[in-house]
Amino acid sequence: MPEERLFRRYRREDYLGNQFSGLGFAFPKQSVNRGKYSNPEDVLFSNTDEFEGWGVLYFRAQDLPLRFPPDVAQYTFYPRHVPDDEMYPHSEVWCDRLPQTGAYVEPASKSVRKLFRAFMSQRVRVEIEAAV
Amino acid sequence: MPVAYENPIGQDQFVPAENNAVGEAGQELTKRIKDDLITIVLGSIYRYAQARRNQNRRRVYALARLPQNWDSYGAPAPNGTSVANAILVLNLLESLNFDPTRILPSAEGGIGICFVQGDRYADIECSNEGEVLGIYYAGAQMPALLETDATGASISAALERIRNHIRG
Repeated sequence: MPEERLFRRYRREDYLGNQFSGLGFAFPKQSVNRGKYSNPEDVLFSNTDEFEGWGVLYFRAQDLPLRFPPDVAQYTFYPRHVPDDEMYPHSEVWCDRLPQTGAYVEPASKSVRKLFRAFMSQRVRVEIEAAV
Repeated sequence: MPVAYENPIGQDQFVPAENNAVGEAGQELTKRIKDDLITIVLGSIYRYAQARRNQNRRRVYALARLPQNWDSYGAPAPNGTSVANAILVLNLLESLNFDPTRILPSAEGGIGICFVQGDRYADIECSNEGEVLGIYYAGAQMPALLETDATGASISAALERIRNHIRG
């Protein structure tokens, strides 16, 4: 599978040293922009410049775990392209249980969600550094 | 008849004329006194720690005033439940003599108290629903979860684990 980056905007305070805090990620259906159809700075687009100084981070589609948690796999994660009127590249991180149902499944346990957010925070990289 | 007590001002005692300074001299005096105060506070480990802890509490209360959608991705603002639990966590940290690195709003709704040392990371997150969950890891190592029942005893136990992890 070719590498595809998924972009998301962030603020500087979510970085502690060189670590991105998982507190900056949320369930459900985390919004990202597909790198295949957009440039990193597109996530900062706003008619009112409200994202001036924000940064852009990315993780790779391949970083989303197909089996999670690794020791007792219950869920799978994947990017789902959900274009909206103003942003065609808009996508969401979807979750399904194992075996797959084909629908979005919200993990009942907040612990799994917390673990996943931390797991993904270890995989993000900065594309455009935030000034604010 | 009662007589007001006054300190006698003798020849070797005087009121410094600079205390009456106005204009530029007054501003200089204010700055010098402020600098002296900062030096005194920074010079005292106890007072410095107190100042930092007060600042942490103020940060928690400030996060409670965030608007809905503060992260532009639809994050809920921290509510009273998460604020109360975050203050409880700060009180417990004080008794452990352990300070957080940063206090952040959570994109899931709530408040997170973070700790970082080198490549070691940990946080304890107080959700708007009343849950208190911790996480810790080093570098690319698989994160480990710290579950609590939101009572002081279980949060303390989680914080001790975090302290041991962060301090190595």
